[in-house]
Amino acid sequence: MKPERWILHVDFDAFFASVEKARNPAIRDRPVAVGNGVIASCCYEARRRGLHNAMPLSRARRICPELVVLDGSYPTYRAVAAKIFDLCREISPNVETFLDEAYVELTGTERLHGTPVEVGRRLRAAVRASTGLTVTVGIGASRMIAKMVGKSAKPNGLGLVRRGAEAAFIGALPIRDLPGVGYRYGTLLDRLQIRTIAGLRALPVEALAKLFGAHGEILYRRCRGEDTVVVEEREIPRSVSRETSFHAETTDRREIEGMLFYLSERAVWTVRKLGLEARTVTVRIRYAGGGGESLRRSLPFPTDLHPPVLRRALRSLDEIDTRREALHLVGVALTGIALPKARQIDLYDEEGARRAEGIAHALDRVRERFGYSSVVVGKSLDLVEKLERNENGFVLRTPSLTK
Amino acid sequence: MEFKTQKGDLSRTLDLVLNIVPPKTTLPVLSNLLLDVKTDSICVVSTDLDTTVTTTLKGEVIREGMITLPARRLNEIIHHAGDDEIHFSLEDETVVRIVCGSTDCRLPGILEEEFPKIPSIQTKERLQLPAGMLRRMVAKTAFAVSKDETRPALNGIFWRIEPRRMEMVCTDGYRLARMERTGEFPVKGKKEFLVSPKALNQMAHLAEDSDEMVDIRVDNNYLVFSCAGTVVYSRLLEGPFPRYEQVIPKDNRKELITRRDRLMQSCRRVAIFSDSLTHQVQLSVKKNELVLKSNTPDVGEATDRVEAEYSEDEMDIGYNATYLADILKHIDGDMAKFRLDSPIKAGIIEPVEQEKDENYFCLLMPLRLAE
Repeated sequence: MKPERWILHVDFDAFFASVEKARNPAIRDRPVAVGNGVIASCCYEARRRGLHNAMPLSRARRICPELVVLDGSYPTYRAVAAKIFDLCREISPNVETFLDEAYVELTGTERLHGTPVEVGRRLRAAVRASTGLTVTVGIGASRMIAKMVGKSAKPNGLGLVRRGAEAAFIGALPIRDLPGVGYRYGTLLDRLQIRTIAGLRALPVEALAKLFGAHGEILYRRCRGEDTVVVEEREIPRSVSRETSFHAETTDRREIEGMLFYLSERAVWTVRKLGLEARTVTVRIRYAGGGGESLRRSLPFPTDLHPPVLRRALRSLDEIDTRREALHLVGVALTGIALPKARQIDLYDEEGARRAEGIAHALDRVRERFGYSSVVVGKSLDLVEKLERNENGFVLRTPSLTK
Repeated sequence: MEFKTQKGDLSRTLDLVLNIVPPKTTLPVLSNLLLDVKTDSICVVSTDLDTTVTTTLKGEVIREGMITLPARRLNEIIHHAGDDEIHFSLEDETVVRIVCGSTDCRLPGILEEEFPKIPSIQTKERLQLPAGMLRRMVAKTAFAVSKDETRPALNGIFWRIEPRRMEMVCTDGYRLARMERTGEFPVKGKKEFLVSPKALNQMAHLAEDSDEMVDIRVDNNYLVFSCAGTVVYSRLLEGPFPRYEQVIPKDNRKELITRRDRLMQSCRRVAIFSDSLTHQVQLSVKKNELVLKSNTPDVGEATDRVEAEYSEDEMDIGYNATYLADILKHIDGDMAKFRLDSPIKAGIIEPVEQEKDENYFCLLMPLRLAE
């Protein structure tokens, strides 16, 4: 007999802020926010006072003057998350991990570990003992249900939807809780007076397809509690991104290009260390006065070297940075990440390509031994006088994003 | 401004200028056509700032004037026009009334002063070349132009004219197509240009008859083609074009001859199973046979065989199937010749029999297999 399908979703409660509280008991009962410029993560104490993620810190301080604001340290969060993910992997080999959440495929583990609820309770206790953090566990017959029931049990809770009760459970939830209904679709459905997920079931699949295109059919199935995505151990990240705000808003082209050089070099380095290649480069900027632009462009072929990525990134920056206004933030994201494939040989610059490969690997070896910032290359030299460095690289203004 | 024209004439005129209108633009007036109506002519202009086309429209002028009108909307109106005669008249500053049969519409335009100026040319030299020859040279090479914006020097057709020979070369860094013509060309010394394929394609289609001559003028910034009442102004691209002569292999001695169409079909069949990004097919070059293979996890695998004349060392070469099929499509004649060296060196592919006064070949770089 085929084992019953069970998925467990783990969500770290107020992750960055909780790690900071666990490290420093003196701030345990105080409202804490991590971030720089905007809140990247805030604790439940802070949320009770009306703060939320992505809120500008200036506003947060006005609302809550006693707020403890911390810069945060991504390497620490990474290490704590890795500990929790390891505990998940003790339960099942199939664990799909994200920054502060994970899906664990429980199917077939019942005889080994007991019922899903027992597994969930034990995992929560183990995380508490090992890291001092609380997590919320959601359990259901699909990823979607597991995550949705987890959300309703937050914080520090455990929720389960029994098999067959999925449709009834999600039916009462507000329509915007349905994965795939974002701001745009939400607004459209508001106008149609559809407020709950059950309300969406009144629409036939043809009507949904007309409203939302191919996405309509997915929503048709989702609002009935169906979701068939399998949990996969994801060794290949969907994207690798690096972005930061500037210490002081800037119009200095050398500083902006220097930062883009540095961020793209680090992103490519991460991809290369994983033995992978990336094909698509997205550059994002935000203006000091609000608003921003981004541009996504693919390279002719995937690469694990910096020069082609940089060329593309600089060109994209030229195309989108058209306002005469200071920049608040710049970032780069690599997507289309995959294992290396056959490489198209270049007619003109094969030797250059080989040389770039050699330089990259030589730099990697030096950085492995003496730290990333032991070598500063190219346009990022323009940052040397503007930014402090530690062995991990430049100290950026948004350290929680300094992955 | 007021004039009358015939649907057929206007639709032919629009065909000549519409290609140049950019699909998306930050400068709204570039989506428009300039209509410049004088007592003796109606001139229609489109531009994307790099390429500008001006042409004349047959019609009966009632009142002079200028206006710009949205190109694609105008084209739709003409496409669906219910009668042959179309009557244009400017109603106020920017609104044009268009009357055709039972239809009466008003189309708002933009003032002509916002439309970019037509380039003025300090002509240094002019020459005339047959339209058919140019059309053929463009058709045989332009497919290899790079679309990678980060390598702007590869985004154009390299065109060199000398008194006794003329060539066009295109390359995207992974393949190259070169067509050379010998003959008598009315130039002094050597002329070299890097021209956008958009402009050359436009030029190549101006003449209805291959023997018609295209008049070409050059200055430092523009190449200007005129033929049959239409003028194409093309801003020259910035080089430098790579020194392609250096990458043309001189001692590729391993010759393979095969039926061009058979190999092209085989390549397309096997490519169904190739990786969606690299389109890799493996060519195993054997005695009197070519074996094509592709194999992609989750997709499947395929093998196909094509007869070939070959007597050198056997080897396996990886190629991008799309590139290979593209080249084979552009080669004339029944038989294609490969001149090869090793699996990591450029291969030369050419027709076994060249046309008179022509020398055409393509280069293709192999794929290096993942380690």
